[in-house]
Amino acid sequence: MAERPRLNWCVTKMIEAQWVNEDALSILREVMEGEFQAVLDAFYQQAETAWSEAATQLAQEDLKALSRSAHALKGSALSLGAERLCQTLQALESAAQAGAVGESKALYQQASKELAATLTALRAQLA
Amino acid sequence: MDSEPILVADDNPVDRMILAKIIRDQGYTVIEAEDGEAALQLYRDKQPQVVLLDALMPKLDGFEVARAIKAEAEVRFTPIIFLTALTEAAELAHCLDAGGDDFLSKPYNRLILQAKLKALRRVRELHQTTELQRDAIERNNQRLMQEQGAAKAIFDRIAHREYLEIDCIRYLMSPIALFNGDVLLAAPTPRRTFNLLLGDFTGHGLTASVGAMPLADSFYALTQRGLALADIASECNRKLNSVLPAGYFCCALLAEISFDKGTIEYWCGGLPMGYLLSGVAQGNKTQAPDAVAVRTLNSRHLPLGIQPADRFDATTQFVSVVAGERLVLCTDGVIEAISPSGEQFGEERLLAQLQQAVAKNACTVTALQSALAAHCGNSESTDDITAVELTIVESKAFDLVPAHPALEYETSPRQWQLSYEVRDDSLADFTPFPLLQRMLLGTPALRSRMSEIGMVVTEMYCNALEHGVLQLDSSLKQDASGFAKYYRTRSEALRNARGFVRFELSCREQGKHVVLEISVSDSGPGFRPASDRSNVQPDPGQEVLLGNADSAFHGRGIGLLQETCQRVEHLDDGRTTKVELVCDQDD
Repeated sequence: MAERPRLNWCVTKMIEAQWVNEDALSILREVMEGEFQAVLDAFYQQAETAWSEAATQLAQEDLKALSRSAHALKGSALSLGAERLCQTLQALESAAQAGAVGESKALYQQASKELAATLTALRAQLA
Repeated sequence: MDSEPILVADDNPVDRMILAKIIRDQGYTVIEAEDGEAALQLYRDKQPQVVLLDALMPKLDGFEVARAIKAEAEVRFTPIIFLTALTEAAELAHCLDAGGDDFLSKPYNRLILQAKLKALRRVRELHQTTELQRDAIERNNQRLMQEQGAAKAIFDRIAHREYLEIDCIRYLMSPIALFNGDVLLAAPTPRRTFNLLLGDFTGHGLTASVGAMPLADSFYALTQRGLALADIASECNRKLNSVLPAGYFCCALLAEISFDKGTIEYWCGGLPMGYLLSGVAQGNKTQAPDAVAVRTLNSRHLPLGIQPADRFDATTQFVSVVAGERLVLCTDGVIEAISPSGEQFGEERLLAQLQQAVAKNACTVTALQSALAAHCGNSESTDDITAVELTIVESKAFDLVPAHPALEYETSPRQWQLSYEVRDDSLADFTPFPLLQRMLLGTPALRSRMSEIGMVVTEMYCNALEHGVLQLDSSLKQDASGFAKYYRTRSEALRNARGFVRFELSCREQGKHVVLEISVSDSGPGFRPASDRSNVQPDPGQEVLLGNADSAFHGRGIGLLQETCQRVEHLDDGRTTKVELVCDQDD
């Protein structure tokens, strides 16, 4: 990372800061050493599965299941330092738990965008 | 590095990976479960040392898993760390209720988890140490109980408990009294009297109980052989003095009760005073407590085991008693029993309780037990207390006979006679019966009558010694103070006694019977009837019936002889008394 151009680093930092807490992620990297990539892969995998299931659950208005999916993904997001995504998923989990269909739909849309942004930011981190 | 694994139970694969990595890096083995059921199964199969539990899991949630683990892990301690955000107080409380020992929240920090695992390991090691020590204590305690049980069994075999279970005795004694140093012994003598010993050894536990064995052994052996109370006290003292270490001794009261003669002879060293309480007048069911007359049996000696044999004072005291009176003895635990406010039970309360119980015609020992429990505020307080009540019964009601001493009987000829004379200084410490009994036991027909023979021989000897050789005035014995004076004078006179007492025993067969003739002569001035009884002037060779009219002169002794013997004769101006006992041959 040190050889990266200074300006580029600043921009990247700014974009990432919105989605991933860099300190949390670097601690995780330190902890996981060679298995860091495996954790990220596990997260991508989980996000893909959980999110397609969430779409189905929302369509079927199975809010209980939706709440559980949001909870599971929220846990991983927090571990990786994806703080904004984590907050939205928390809101989605609560709304779904409370049976608020409209609110859940809106939050699902928001979380989808944030998930995409988070994944982008993570991939940028690994580049 | 560590054989017992750490269980990570979390349905989130990302979190599981992170935790597993952190824990593995610290040298532990990790096992993983992705739902509650799997977690519980792994717990049972692998016995992990620590369990990390996510609260929300499919199938069985973390709370249920925690409760199941804590329920199963009654003996071994398995710490549980809940994986939860430390935000909601309600959820944390829920975790604690379920048995959680600690919490861990995100982001997972290596140092914090390391510290928690170390701390929990220390707690767990402490717990294991405690377990091991508890087991060791449990084992030691069990062994101690077994040893105490065995010791008590041995002691019970020496201490003939059956003689405490007779109608006229009530006693209070904890089953572990032996280990408090309390000893209560009772046995009939072969002279139709009854011996009682209450002892209280110094200290508690093993040292206190060790001395009980030789004490009981001496007491029973000598009582069975019919030795005088002073001799029994001397022997008990000698035995304890030789076996007990310095500083250990036994406070004791020994009493020989003669229901026939209405006397109690006692020796008391260091034990709280004994009480003699008059009975309730016949026909009255109750009376006022202060109408119950009280006499005391006081300690006049050092406890048993302190003085060497040559300095031991075996002087005994005598009191006269009548049927219905009660003798109550207790150890100092009764007087020293402490109430919650620190107040001792004391002699006044003790005496008041005894008088109240007698006034109501109730058992003093039972009354004492409940009064002590009330005083101390619990019933366990009576564990350290021994008390005994003996009611004086009519002489007819006393029928205890000891087993014959385990002597190798030498069967003597069917017809024999012997003469035995004791004189001067030897009179002071002579007790005729133990010696004569050895001879008499050789004749099988006499064995079943041994108690009566013992009583008769002793009575005749006492009459010859006291009224013949020592010339004591038995009219002194009419009241309680004279009674004590009589026996004081007797022991003084014995020290300078001059003269003799001679036994002549002969045994002959007469048809189906065996006739034992006992003749006791003394060196005294002879039989001088009191002026108011001149009509019963005894003539040599003539059978004399001296019945009740004579009781003022000879005490109750002559009456006893006449009840027991077939013939009673006074010869040689009253210097010789001859009796005949006719015994059946069948046994």
